[in-house]
Amino acid sequence: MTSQPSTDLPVNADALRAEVQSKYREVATTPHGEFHFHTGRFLAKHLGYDDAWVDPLPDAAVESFAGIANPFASRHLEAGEQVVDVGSGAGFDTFVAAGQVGSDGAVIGVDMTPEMLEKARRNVDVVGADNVEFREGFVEELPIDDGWADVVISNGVFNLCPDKKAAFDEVFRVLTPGGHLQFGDIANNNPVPPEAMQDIDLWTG
Amino acid sequence: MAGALAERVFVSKLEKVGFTNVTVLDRQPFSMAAAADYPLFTPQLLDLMERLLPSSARQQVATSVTVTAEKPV
Repeated sequence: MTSQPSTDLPVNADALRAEVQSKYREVATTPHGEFHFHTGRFLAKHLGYDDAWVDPLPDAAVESFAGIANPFASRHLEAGEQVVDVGSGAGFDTFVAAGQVGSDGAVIGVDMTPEMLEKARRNVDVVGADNVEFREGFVEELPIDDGWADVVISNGVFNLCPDKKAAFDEVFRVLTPGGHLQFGDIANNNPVPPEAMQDIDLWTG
Repeated sequence: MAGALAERVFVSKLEKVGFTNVTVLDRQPFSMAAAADYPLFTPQLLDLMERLLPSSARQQVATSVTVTAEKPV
C-alpha cells in the first residue's frame, strides 16, 4: 500500500516505513529468534501488565509483543467502549483491550506490516475474540470513520512516525468528542542532531 | 530512536492538534544498559550513543512514558 506523506519531513517516509516493516516482520515470523530486546510474556510482566488480562491469552497472541510501555496502566477500558489500537502488530494490546471492553465493545487494530496483520488475524480465531478486527493502514491515514472510537491506544508507535502532526491529527479525527487517547512511547532525554534525524537506521534502532 | 520526541514536545504537539488534559502519568527513565532491552536500541545505536554522549548523560538516555489526552466535547 502507498500514501502521500508530506514532502517537508526530516526523513524519507517510505524508506522509514520499509525499514520498520523489515524489523517487525522478523518479530512476527520468528518470535523466538535471537533479539537484543525482550518480547512476549516476559516483557508484558516487566512492563506491569495485569496477569489477569495476559494469562488467558494463548502464546500465539503474546509471543510477538514488543511494546515499550503499558497503555492500560493509566486507565482500564470500560465495557462497551469502541477502541482503535494504532500500530497493533500481532495484536497483543488489541486482545487485552478486547477483554476489557467485552462483547458489547469492539476493537479495531491497524497496522502497516502484512506479516503482523496475517498473524493478528490468525490470532482472532485462536483467542476467539468476536469483537476484534484488523485493518491495514498507516497511522497518518487510519482506515476508520470519523468519531468512531471512544478510545485510541498505542504502544511505541508514534516515535516511528515521520509526520507526528499527521498522526495526531488522524487520532483526533477518529475519536468521538470526549474520547480518550492513551499510549506508551519513548521520550528522548537528549536533543537529536539534525543529521541524525535524516538517518533511518537511527529511527528504527 | 531519532524520531522520539522530548516529553514537553509530545505534550505541545498533542495540544496543538486540539487535545486537552494531556497528562504524562508514568515515567520510567532508563540508562544505556537498560535501553538494550528495548527494540529501538540496537547494539549499533548503543555503541554510537556511548561514543557521542558524555558519561553523565548515559545514566538516563530516554524515558518510557505513558500519556493520556482527551478530545474536547
